[in-house]
Amino acid sequence: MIYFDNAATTFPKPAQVVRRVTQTLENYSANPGRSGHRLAMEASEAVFDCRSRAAAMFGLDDPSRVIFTSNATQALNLAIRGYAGAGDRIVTSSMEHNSVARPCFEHSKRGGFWDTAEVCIDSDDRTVAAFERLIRDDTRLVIATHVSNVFGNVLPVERIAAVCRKKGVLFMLDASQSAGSIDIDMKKNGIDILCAPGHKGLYGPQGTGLLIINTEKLPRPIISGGTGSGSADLAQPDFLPDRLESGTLNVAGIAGLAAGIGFISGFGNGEVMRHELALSYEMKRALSDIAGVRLYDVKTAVTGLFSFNIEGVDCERTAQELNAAGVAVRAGLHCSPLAHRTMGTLKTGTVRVSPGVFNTMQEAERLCTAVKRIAENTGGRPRVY
Amino acid sequence: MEYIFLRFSSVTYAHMAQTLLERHGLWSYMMRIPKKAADEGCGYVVKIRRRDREAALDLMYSARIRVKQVHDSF
Repeated sequence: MIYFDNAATTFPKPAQVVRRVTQTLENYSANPGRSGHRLAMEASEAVFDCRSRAAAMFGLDDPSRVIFTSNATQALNLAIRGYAGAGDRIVTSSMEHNSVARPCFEHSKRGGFWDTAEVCIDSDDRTVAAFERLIRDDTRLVIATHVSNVFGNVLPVERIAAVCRKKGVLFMLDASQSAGSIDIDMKKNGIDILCAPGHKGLYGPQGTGLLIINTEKLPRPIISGGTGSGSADLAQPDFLPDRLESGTLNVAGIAGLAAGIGFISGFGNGEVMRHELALSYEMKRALSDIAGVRLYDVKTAVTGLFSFNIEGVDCERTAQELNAAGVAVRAGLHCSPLAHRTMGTLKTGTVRVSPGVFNTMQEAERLCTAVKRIAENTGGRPRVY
Repeated sequence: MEYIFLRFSSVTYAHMAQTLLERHGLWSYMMRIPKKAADEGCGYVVKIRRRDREAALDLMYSARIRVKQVHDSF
């Protein structure tokens, strides 16, 4: 199977990740931060190692700022629900995934307010201006996805962060599609809160995610419980990571994530992005020559992932036929109705292609050949967009 | 006694302290705090040589790692 569904989760996982998960399960899958025996201490060291690597990867030198979650969605929920209360306003982009949109929608049903800033795919200036217009005195939190999980466009997050800094509002980045492929320095880029999955661009196992907090303002804990610290006190600890990290951690997953971060850090500066862009450039070039194929390209910066449709063919059918041809892609709305509405594809959905570090140019060619065959067999006709 | 014990809020801070001490060539050993001294409940201490006390505390201060208490013995 040729796997071009890396935006959902990267596959395959690097050998060192698989090894590390297995070694942890076999050798020291004890409960970290709870007991004092050797196995618990080794588990604790493995967790701390990952915490340190994750902090360093995003430009922080304090590992306690890294909170482990089970995915980016959990991280986003912890932050959104923890920072914004009744009466508070949240501003997001118009291209957010449901992992942001749904908690914000719920926030609006609980006495809060939610505004969406229209992303302009032709102009970063207009996108930044849209955010600036919406930030008011009661705005508690501004959230932007770094990269659209449907169209691959990169939002001008440093500029949005600068606006937030100027207005004294917390800025939260959803780095679900950028962590590991775009260099992010939370201090330099002005990011107060960062949420990322461990199992996508960081090449860790599923069941891992990160919430990283680069501000002294801490959120209310949404989940409370055992932390292995201050146990005599019924109140949840007021320090990180314990404040937001109750219950037994996914030690094997976290150890695997450390190996994934090590794997991705081994690439040179920008190397991952260059590889993915080279693949997508060739695919987009070849697909644009196929009669009936519509590419959804944007004029602002992009990553390797992109969307297309074959005229007259349901996107899910295209994905099914690609599956039959041995190519894995994702079709539909990609849990991002806002992004589809922004691009005018809410009714049709799209077929998403998302390359990863293990994809090759030969695989890209095979995807294009398979798409061409589907388009020819289903009567796609040339059309200029 | 040859050793003293630095007590931290959590295992993460104890690890941070140990990493810092190691980086500066100071010996340390992390362990659970004995129950009789654990008035706030469970926790971890980092055992260091008594002669390293000032250097270690300076390091913690400069790295903003809060030492909750220094125990001479348990």
